[in-house]
Amino acid sequence: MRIDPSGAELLALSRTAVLEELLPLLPASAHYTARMVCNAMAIAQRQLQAAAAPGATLPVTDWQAFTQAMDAGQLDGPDAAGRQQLWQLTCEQLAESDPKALPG
Amino acid sequence: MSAQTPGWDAAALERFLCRCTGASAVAVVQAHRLSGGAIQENWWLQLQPAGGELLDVVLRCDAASRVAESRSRAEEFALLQVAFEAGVTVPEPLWLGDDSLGRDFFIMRKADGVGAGHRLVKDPTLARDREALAEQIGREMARLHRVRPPESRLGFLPAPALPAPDLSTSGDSPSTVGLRQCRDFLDQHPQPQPALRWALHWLEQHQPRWQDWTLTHRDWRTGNYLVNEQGLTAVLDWEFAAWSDPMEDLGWFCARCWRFGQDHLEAGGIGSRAALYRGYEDTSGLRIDPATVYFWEVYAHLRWAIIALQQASRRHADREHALELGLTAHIVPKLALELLRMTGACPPELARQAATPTH
Repeated sequence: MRIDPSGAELLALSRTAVLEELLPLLPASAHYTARMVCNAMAIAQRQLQAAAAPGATLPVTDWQAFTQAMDAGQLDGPDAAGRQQLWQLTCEQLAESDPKALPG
Repeated sequence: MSAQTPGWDAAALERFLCRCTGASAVAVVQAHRLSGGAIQENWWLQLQPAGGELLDVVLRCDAASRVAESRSRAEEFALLQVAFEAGVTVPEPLWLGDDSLGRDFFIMRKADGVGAGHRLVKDPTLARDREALAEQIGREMARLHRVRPPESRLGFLPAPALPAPDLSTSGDSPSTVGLRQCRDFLDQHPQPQPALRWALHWLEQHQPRWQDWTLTHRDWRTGNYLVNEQGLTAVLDWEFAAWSDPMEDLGWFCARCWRFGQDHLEAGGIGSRAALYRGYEDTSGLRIDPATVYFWEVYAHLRWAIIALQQASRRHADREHALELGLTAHIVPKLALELLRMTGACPPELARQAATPTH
């Protein structure tokens, strides 16, 4: 049993503190680094939140078999399921790394 | 610009400049460090040769804490010389340094202008006629692509996989060589990277039939050239230059990932694809095949994703830049999504297709 607030929430709170309290006090030369810190915190927060929810994509070991099948040309035909898994995995990764870039 | 003091022997530099110019004395009137990367330093120097006119130059040298890099200063100087002689708008390479400063350097004429991609795509006062800029870039690329192997000054470049003169070996195409490098990297990467592997597989199945070996820039994109109000003033950053298919440069320039959010401006986020192609075709005499450029645009996204993964893996060795390098890995999913859209592995309504510009 973990203590509340969770790691994800602590990251969100810390990021807000950096953006609203620290960034205005920093010299301009440090703003780029501060924003990178905030970006990293946001990614970490989203990864923690996603880890807490069950994902719909295959575990890593199965992806290795998947890519072997891909290299053998088994997805070249109209294998909608295989390509759909690629799309779903990539959207899940994008939701953590850069959700603004998700289509729609 | 920075008001830092150069960390070299000023008297040694002035003696070097005297030898290069033939002047009895050369004073460094001003020295300002220009913004740039961590691997090289760029210094704007204003020189006053005795009896001569003021000269604005850029001294480019290894950083004091040099790390392994893709090109030495001497190699970069040679690339600039070859490009300059081919008629490409680059800073004129003036003098290759010796051991005067204790580190490798060269001096080139200073080119004025703005290079920042984010600023260029949003500031209409820079290169006011954007279609003319796109067309000019096409012409410049065509001039560069006239340089063919062999070129004795570029012996440091990996040799192009040309067929043997007696045809005992057939050689490889630029795309075959490039895709082999991509596959070698992905094979040794600790994560499976399935979307990137899918793109690699698609590229291997769709290689252009007709390819050539010419000198290519391989990082010619918005952000790596300077412009002023009138237009292009210099093409920069020749570190990735190599022998390859000339369409690789067009694909990299038009790749969606390098449009800085101006996705409707397919030529580098600054102009139309038609204008770029027009300039290129008028100067080269060739007709561009849209499907070939599309291949190299897909390749551009894969290559940039691989570069991002390579940069991210350097975070353990480069503590100073560890955060920035680590975050670079997180641009890969966006590149992967674009790759899936370009190769049909997406919902049909989101699929991309090769663009055919209206001439």
